[in-house]
Amino acid sequence: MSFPIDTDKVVKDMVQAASGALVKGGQQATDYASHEFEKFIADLDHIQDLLEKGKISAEDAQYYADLQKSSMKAVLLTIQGLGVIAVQNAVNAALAVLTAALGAALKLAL
Amino acid sequence: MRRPITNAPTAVCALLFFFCSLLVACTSVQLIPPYDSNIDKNVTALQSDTETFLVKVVRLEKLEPGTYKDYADFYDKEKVAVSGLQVRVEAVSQNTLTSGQVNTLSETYAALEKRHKEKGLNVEDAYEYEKAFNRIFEAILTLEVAKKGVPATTGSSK
Repeated sequence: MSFPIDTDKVVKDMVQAASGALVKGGQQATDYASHEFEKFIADLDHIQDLLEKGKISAEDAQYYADLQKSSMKAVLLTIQGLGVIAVQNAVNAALAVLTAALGAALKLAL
Repeated sequence: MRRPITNAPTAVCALLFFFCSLLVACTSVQLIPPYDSNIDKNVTALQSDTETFLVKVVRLEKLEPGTYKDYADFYDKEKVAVSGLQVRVEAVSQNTLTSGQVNTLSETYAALEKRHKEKGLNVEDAYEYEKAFNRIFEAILTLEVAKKGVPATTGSSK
């Protein structure tokens, strides 16, 4: 007795499904991260500019820079979350392929 | 008369495969909770209240430290709203990332209140706080919206 399951193909399909989800999620995280990092640098440049023009004190400049830096914690957590979602989607995509392959093999075996 | 079991190994293996596929079908990995529209709604409301306050600071150009008490209602309301948000976020398992973001939000409100109380607020303060708050609000909402793709019902894995 044998079950008609092509393990090589199933593994290949699982990897393909997982990598597709990873690439999509990774791209989303990268786009968001680069956008936010650019904004952060622009904000720091603005603070530096205000300081150089004498519109704010050095103490205020440091305070504002710390404030923006602190708010970046939320951004980093979002980047981490987008990565987690990508991994989750990749694993579930691979599991879906495995489930389908096992289901098909079972039908044929019976 | 008993019927002979003619194909027992096949039956056993088929059963095994059935349970295997059942197991895989019931198992999807969940590493992060699904989208919560209440978080989305509450964060949007917080953003609106905060923006209204900061726009007022810009219009008035300067709030002296002595004016802090006049705005105690704003700080109290935001504190209660953030606390409610934190409770909701932490009631859901695996929500540590959003919980961390709400902590950052809470710290930023505390910093704004302290600044107002000790030094007053000026136009630059308002602009810098607006940027910081909006960065946090956007970060929370971006993560929450990304969770829309996460299935609501799952089997395992913490």
